[in-house]
Amino acid sequence: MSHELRTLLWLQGCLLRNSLRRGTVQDTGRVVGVLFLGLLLLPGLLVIAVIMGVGLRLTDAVGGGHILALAFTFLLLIWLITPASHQQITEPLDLTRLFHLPAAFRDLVLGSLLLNSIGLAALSTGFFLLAAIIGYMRAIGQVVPMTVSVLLFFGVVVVLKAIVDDALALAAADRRLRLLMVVIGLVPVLPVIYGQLSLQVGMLRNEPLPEPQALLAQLDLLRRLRWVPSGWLAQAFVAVRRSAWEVWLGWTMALAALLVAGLGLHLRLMRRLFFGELWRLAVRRRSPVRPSRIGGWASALGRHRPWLGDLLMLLYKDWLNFVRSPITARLFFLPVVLGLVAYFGGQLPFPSWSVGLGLAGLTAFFVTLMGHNQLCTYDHVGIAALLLAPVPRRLILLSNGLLNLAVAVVLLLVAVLVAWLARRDAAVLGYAMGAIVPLQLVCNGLTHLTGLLFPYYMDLERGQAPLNEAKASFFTVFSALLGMPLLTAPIMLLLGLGRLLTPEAWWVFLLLAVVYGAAIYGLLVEVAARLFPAREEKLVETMLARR
Amino acid sequence: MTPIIQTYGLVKRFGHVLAVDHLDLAVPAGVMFGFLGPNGAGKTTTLKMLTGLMRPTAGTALVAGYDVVRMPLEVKRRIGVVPENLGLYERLTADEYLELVGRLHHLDEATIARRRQRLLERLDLADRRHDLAVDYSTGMKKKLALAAALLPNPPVLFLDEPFEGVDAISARAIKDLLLSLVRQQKTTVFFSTHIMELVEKLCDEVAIIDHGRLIAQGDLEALRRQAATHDRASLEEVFLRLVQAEVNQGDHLDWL
Repeated sequence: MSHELRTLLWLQGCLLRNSLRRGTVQDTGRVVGVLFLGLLLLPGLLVIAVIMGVGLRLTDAVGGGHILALAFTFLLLIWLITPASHQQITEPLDLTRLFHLPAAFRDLVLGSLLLNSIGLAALSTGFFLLAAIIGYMRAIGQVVPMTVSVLLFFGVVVVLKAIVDDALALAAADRRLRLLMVVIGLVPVLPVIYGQLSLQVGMLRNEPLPEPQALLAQLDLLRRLRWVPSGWLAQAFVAVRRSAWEVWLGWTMALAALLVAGLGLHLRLMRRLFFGELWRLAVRRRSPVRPSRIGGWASALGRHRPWLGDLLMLLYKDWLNFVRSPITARLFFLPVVLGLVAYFGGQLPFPSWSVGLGLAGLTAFFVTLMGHNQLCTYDHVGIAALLLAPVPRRLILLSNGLLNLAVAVVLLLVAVLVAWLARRDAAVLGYAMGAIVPLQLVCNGLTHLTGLLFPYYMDLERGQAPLNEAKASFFTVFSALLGMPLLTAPIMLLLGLGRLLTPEAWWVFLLLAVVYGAAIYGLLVEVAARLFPAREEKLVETMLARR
Repeated sequence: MTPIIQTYGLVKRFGHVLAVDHLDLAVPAGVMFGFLGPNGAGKTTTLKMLTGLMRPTAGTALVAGYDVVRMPLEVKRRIGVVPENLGLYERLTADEYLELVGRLHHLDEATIARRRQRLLERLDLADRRHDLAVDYSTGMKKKLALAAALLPNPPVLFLDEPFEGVDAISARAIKDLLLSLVRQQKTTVFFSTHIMELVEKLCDEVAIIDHGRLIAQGDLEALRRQAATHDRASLEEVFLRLVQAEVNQGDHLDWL
């Protein structure tokens, strides 16, 4: 092994060891995350792998093939979406940081592949692949061909992850391109959500669940997944069991060909990266800036009610940030996921009003989760500039809250229309749209407060908090998740009980829920506004220190 | 004397944007060389091409006698770089980061340990050497990147805005260190900055680029002649004249 490769291994070891180290700014959340992964997740995956292995021993060749196709596709997805999700516990190796140092290009390429193949993902993949071989083989002679196919598949996933890493690094200079790639990179998750929802709906409809083997045969994963490398590996395994050696050779050669092609592509992308030839979308023609009438309206309003003029200007600013924020591009997933939930929810044997209520709750939950981790979601960074100016603090929060509410209403509308198409019952629409107002109001108040109490800087471009701010991130998530059910329970109770007790007068309960939501929101904004003076210094420092 | 850095018709094009336009530059060895230009003039792009981090669209660049495109590894063995984004690993300590750099330069362990100790003491980082870089201030990170650039004792140093975000005490330490390198070891320091006073005080020679083109090069006297300014004109005046900048006097800000 070359000196450079040994150095890269040493570097990976340092980063892995330091992921367990607390910095002077204590990042307990990160350490807890690593311990969770090491002590719970890995053994958990080991147990699942063992269960899969036992399951494979009990099934026939084709049934086992379906299980393998599913498991291998799960592994493939994990490898593909990890770089796009930015959810990496250790600091990513990011070899571009070594490009100004005298490391040979060849060593960097080899290093990128070698280091990818020795991380936590590789370890858990190893469990599954080993369990697959042990569980599926029926004669010792089958181990060798299976191992050959498995090694090629492992090479394929390592190279594919490296290609995704390269592509994201190449797109680093172009914000829009990066976002586009992240969105595309997460699309493979949607079929998983679809499959999981369809199973859940079947269970909730009290449909007799098919036997696992019958279900797998019905899904026919071996046939459906033959277009992806995970399907090729499953086909190769089945061929080994049937001693169909020409078929095994065909699928194994396909994996080898993909590995070679992937290596070639990785090499080309790394070379581009090495010489700084980053990707950019074509520069948009600048459209002339149209003068806005908002300023005039705000002045006119401000003459009678100064705060109304200020609020209008803040709303306009937040709207512009919303349109231009990277958060907006990520919102692409919410209507899709909510639409899927609504589609399946529409088929459930529940009354329409409860489906509407559930959809509203889910929307508020998603929107709150998106905003819990940064104060003033869409203009997160701008909060520092606002705090340095004499802007009324209540209005800053109110403007963000109103925009958040508008976003939730629009998102829910998409979902509710899908549910309405599935059920043809206007009650879904009425209940959902009515419930979202109080639900989102209390959730907004909660995020204002958590953002103030545990502020941290969020890199909106990458959707990631700096490594040493994980503690604040942990507390905002924790407090938002704890506070949400507590504060929204009275609304759900009011709307649910109102519908059950007096179906004709349900709107009275809706009105009560809105009053409750507005009161809680007002209270939380008031508390947050009073807290502002004590927290301003910390907020400005948090937002500006990392810029 | 053969220049240690030399470019011939260096061009970098991004789509239809010409970032560097046929740049011919010659930097003698053992000088402090200031590289100036307005925002977007092509300074960082040039620096990236000279350090092998970006391939030129056309032209040639030689550093320490080696072509940066054909022999980038040879070039990187002879240069120290403080890049624009510093490129540090935030979850490494100063000790570990310097060890990484030393290893990649094939220095033996004893040499790495000795030089690391001296550099950290000189740059006032010795007390924090076991802390993770993520907990450093901007100035401390810059000093760590500088220590990493100096560790292999390269004949050429490329520094992109080395004094940005650095406090006065640290800036003084860095200035003294760089000057001693140039005067005693004949190291060539090539740095880009916006601080004219610093360049005027430190640099033996200055190049000014604008819109990717070299518009002047030489010592302050030569620049004054090229700009046709008076004998005591400051570098700022010379610079503004050469890039033909129209300074907005702000006479319409009637409320101030």
